[in-house]
Amino acid sequence: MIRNLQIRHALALAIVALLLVVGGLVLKNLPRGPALEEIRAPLQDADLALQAFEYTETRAGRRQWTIEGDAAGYRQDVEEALIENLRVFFFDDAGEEIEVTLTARHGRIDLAARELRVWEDVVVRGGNDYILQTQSLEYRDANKTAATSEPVRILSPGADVRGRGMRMDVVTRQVEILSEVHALIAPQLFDEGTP
Amino acid sequence: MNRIASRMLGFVLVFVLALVAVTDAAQERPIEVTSERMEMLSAPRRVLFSGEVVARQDDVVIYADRMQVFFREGEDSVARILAEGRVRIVQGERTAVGDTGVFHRDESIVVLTGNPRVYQGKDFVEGEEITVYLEEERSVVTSREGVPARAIFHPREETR
Repeated sequence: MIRNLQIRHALALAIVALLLVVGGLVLKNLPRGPALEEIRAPLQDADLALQAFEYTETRAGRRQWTIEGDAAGYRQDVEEALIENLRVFFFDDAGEEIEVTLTARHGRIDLAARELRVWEDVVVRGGNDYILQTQSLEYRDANKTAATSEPVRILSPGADVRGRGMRMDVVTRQVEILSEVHALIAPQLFDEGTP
Repeated sequence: MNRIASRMLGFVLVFVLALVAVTDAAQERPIEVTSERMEMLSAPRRVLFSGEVVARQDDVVIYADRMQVFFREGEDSVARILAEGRVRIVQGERTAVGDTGVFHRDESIVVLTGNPRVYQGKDFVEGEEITVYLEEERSVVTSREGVPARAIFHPREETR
């Protein structure tokens, strides 16, 4: 009887340990960024909810960047705006639009810090120079740079580059892949591979 | 000696032609590059790979600390490839080394500098600079001032 109990206990412990390991692995591999509930909650609790939203950030009267979105919620207490299906347009120091646009499914603006975080199906188009795809990106207005630690893919005329981690100067369009670079160099890649 | 020198020059020519055929073929077929980091730069439009750079096509592999691929403005084609820092180009038993290797597409030349050497097994040729003129099918090994270009060739009997 005691032996049977010991076996059952051992089995139960093994199952619990297995569940813990599987649970840990699942948690570890969950996509980064807020969960869907986290996204919806601020929209529902927003002080101001908007459809067909457009927001322009200015500095000294000059446009810095403009965001268009299908829906947005603004929470005054934390100076935060959450935007769905957003498109971002950037401007140089003179307030002139530059040929860089960003699209993503979700975005969050920290109005106090003047920072923008976007996630899910993030695409940056630099005119005819390149298309960048990733799943998460943070834009800092202070130095006009965008960065991610996620895997990235860049399609440009003659090159298809994949890697992990990226820094981009939005004004100069200089792009840096930080690790694990794997590139294919051949003509016509941009035309054939452009999503 | 003439026969040996002729053989060495032929060896250099064939090897570098193979290298250039590879870089030239990159215009048509992809060349695969892996590295630690990469920067896309403009004016001139180019891609800079750095950190353990390895470029492959078919059986040719180019290793370097840094490699810049220069594109033609307004076009997708490669104009020039500049490999720098511990450059090593390997095809089968043949290996070329130097501090810098440049393929100039417009001039159809390849230039190896910085103690360039081209090896096949134990045999090698070296000089100040090794340049290959593709369309004229000739190559030039430039000597250092006061130091002649050198070729070390092991006759087959010795290498057995």
